[in-house]
Amino acid sequence: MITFLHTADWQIGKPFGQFQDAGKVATLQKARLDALENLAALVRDHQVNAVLVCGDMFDSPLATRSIVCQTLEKIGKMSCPVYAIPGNHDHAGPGTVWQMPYFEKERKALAPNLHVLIEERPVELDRAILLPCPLLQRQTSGDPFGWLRGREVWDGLSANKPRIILAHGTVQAFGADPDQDSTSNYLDLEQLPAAEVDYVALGDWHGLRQVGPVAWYSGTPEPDRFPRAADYRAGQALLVTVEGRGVPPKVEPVTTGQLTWAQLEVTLDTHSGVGPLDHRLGDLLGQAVGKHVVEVKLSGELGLEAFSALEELLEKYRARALELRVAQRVAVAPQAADLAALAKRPSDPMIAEVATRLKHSLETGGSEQDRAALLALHRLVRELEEK
Amino acid sequence: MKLLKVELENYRCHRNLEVKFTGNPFLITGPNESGKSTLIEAIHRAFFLRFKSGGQVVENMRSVAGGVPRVAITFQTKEGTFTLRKEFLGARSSAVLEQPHAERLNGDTAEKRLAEILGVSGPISGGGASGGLEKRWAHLWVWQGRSGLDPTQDLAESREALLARLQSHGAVGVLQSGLDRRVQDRLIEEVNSLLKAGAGEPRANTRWASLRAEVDRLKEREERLRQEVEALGHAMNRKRDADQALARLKPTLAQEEEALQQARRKRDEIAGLRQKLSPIETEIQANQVEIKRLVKQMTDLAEAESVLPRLTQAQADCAREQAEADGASKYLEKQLAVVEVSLAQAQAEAEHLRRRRDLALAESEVQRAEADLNRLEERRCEVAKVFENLRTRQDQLSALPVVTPTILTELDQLQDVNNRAEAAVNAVAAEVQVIRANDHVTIGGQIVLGDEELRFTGPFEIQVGDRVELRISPGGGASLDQAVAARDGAAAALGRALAECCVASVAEAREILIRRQMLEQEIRAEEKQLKVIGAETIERDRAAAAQALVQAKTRAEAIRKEISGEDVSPADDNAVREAETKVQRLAQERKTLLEQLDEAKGRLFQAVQAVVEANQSLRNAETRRATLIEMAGPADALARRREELEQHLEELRSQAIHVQAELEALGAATIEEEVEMREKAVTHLNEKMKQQTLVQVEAQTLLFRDGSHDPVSELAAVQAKREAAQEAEAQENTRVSALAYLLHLFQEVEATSREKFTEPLVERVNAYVRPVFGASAKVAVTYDGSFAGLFLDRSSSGKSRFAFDQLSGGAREQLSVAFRLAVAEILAADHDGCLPIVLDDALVSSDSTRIKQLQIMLNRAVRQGIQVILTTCTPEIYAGLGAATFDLGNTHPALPGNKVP
Repeated sequence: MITFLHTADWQIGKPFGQFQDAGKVATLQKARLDALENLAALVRDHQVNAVLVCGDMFDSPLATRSIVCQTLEKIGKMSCPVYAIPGNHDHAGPGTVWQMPYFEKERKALAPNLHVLIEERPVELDRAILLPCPLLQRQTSGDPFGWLRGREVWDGLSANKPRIILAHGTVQAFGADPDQDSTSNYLDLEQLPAAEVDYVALGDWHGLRQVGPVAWYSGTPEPDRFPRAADYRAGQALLVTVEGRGVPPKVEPVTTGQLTWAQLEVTLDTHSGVGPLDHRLGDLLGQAVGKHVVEVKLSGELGLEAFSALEELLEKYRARALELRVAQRVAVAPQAADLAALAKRPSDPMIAEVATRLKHSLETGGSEQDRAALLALHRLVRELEEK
Repeated sequence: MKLLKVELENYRCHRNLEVKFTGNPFLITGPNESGKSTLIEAIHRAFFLRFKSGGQVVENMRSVAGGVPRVAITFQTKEGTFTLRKEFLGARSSAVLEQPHAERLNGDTAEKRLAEILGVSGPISGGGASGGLEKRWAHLWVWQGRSGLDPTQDLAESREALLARLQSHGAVGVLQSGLDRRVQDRLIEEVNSLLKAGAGEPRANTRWASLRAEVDRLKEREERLRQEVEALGHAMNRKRDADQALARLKPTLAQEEEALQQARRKRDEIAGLRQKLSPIETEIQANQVEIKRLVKQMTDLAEAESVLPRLTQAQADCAREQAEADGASKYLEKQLAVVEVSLAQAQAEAEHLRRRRDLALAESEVQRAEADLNRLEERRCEVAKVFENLRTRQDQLSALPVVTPTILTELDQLQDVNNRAEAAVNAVAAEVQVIRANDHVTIGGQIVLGDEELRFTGPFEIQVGDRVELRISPGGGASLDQAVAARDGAAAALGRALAECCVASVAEAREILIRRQMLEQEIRAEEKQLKVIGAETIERDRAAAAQALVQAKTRAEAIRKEISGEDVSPADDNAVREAETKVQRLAQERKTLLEQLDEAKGRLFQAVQAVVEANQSLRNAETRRATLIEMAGPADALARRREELEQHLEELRSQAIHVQAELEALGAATIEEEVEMREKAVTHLNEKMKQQTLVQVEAQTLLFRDGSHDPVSELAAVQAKREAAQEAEAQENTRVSALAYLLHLFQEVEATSREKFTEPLVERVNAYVRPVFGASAKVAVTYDGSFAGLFLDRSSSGKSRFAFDQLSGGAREQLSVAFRLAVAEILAADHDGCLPIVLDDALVSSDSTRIKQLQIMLNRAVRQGIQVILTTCTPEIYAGLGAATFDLGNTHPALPGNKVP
């Protein structure tokens, strides 16, 4: 019997370049390292025999020494052997981190329990046999399972130890899955001799998913992207127990992540204003501060007044979320009251005339510039009127 | 508001004046300096100058006759009739505003109420009074001299009131409110702070510019990182390719090396076979050469035997041709001998005839030479005679003194000087004659007895008796001495000149000159004669003639000697020509015979040669046949030897074919190429191995990293940052563009509004100008916060717009009045529909026609309720206006109720 933690796609050192705030980037990067601490705790708590990392330990094949050290330090804290294969992000092509002298030096110093499996050959452990399918380049058009096709591989294995395949890639054809990280490195599970395999530990998809009777994607231990499918679950690892050769594995997802990545799609209307958005964000964030990365896709239309209120609302939630980004597709639909407030101003005839012109332009199609100008006029009038 | 009456006391030139405005229009007339403008000024001061004012303004109001300047104006508004009284003088100044049945207002209270009625902010006072005063109601009070100026300049104080009225009159344009202005100002401020003027480009240090710069910086960094990542990717690929290539190359190289060894072994085997084949081929070649030689010998022998009969026949033909040529030659030689004898005889005869002719010619030459010699002797005598004459004359000339015309002229001049000097002396000389004397008289030491006349050219003394003694100096001073000295000098010069010429006098010199000239003329004539008769060549010619005679005689004697003993009678040219013709004919005959003989001898020589050659050829052919047989043997022996050799050759060839078949089987023809090809392949593979190893090492070196920097990760981060920055820049661009667009709209609305805003005013002005400038005339007024610029367009196209200042003086006055009337009409609404307008001699540039047109305008204004007050010193031109008139120049009031001092 063997109990192991199946994990993948740590992508330590991910730059999160789309985040402008360096502090937020640091938080996101630290969260990924913290997830490894959670894995170490699971190892301890569940008396795990081994940790299997199915690719993309690092975000880059040229991970720096600093990233390597931080990662190895966490691995070193795991009280069992850790077996890892290179994935597409950190493939083991020539000149990559795995072949650099500093990596080996630090591995020996910080994580002697780490074993990087770069060769396609069985690794026999006390309790199981590992069959690694490492990636030696970012995208391979070959079959990572190719070396397992020959009968001679299986004939040479111990008959009574569970056989565990470690692989990194996609199990669906090109473009079939929205969570697919890469469009090559296709893994054809059908080609594997089902009777010979006890568990297939897969990496690449960042969401947890079972893709065959004994084949699982563990997903990434710390979410790093917005869900691309409704059943997307990230921030977990799989605690797997295989009782023996030919016995179905017992697979239990365990939580490791701490941040929530969420996307909201909210359609606004001139009647309800920004209220619905306020509710949705309020429900999502609750009392948490700095724990959510939220993308709000806004559509619909708002009047000028509500549009101004929208900015204020977003500012409120920006302060509470770790990151709040807004895909803004809300049309400015000046309402009668808005327009009346601007266009019917006998006391301010120029503002009224300009507003009227913009209104006419918008009524006959108008442009983004017209909308932006009307908004700007609204803002200026409101601001200067108050004075 | 309407003026009813004005009363002045002690106001400048007016001691006491009352004018009632009894009609509309109202004309104030009077000659220059009668106080028309003063009256107008007084009303204006009363309305607008604070009663407590002082300074120059008030001083100027004072009358020369003293007294306090007082002005009282009665005017009417909808509130009733008011009377305003003001006194301007220091402590006694006062202002009173009265209304029947109402409280009388005094001082500042009166001023305040008055200002309300007039629609102004208050009275003008203080140091700047005159400047401020002029602006008050400047649009209504047209001071003298201002009628030709742009009237829009006079709207400064009434701007607000006019704007308000224009809006109430339906101006469709909008006017900025405070908020409008603040919004527009903020937009200007924001756009100016964000964008460079006119460029649409962001200013430095704005968020947009920073974002742009950030995008550029990130793009640059991204590009650098991309290049680095690409370089690393290439290195990875090269390393991978090199690894794979080396793995492929190793077995290929081993195969090629084995193939090379096999090829080399085969090459050695082929070399052995070739060694065996070589002697066989050598023998075949030797056999072939021998057979060839035998065939040649056999051919040569057959050929030598075949030529002998032909050569024998040729020898016989040549001998026959030789005999024929010999006979012909001998016959021609005999013929030639006969002709040569005849020719010698004819030649001797012709020679004798030529000598007899030459002797006759020589004797005739002797006679001509003798005649020439005699003629030359005669000429020689003549030359000797002329020479004798010439020599005689030359001797005569040389005996005469040398006097030339120049010398004679000089002598004449000296003679003339001498004569004039002598005459001068004689002119000064004194003549003394004693006519009667009782005493003895001594003159110049000479006692004169009487009646004797003495002449003195120098000082002399006269003594009469013992008691009288006189000294006389002719000439009275030094002049006699000077004349004497001059005469002596001239005489001496003449004497020296005559002595130089060896003559005694000038006359003698003249005679000698004439003689010399005659002799020189004769000498020249004789010299010319000598030249004509050839004196220079006479001796030479004579000697030549004597020589020619001797030669002629000698030649005749020689010829005679040659033919002595024969006939020496003279022969003529015909006889000589006949003899010579005969000689030529015989010579031609001989030449022809000689040519025929040469030809015959040539044929004979060729025939002899041919015989010799034929003999030689025959001998050679016989010798060759004998030699061939001696060297190679007879022909049948040669044929046998050839047959034997050919059989042996066939055997050798069979052996060679066998060995060659073996070589072919081993691929002998291509073995060297094969070995070379294999060697090249091995070398090439080794080279490739080396190259790939080098690539592998190079790539390995490039790929080596110390872990300090991860370009892949950095590139991903920079790409994402750049995309985010680009999006932010686009948003900022949109925001700034929207602000700029908004500002543009504001400015557009403002510009449109300005035009529309002035429409009511323009319409009113048009109503005034059209009767004057035509129905298509229209005006334009620009407004950009204040009224500025008045234009007139008289064309129907609307494209001939002239600015106010571009118009003629008269047109300016007309337009100015029209504009003021229109403004007054609009503003009148604030004053119960009536306002006075005062034109103080405002139409100075207008002729009578224009004045009439203006009257139409003024009548319209009157109909619109405007009170029109004019001043003029030429009332007759306003006759058509039908105005009530007040004449300041008339001691009698023009109208009842008006009075003057």
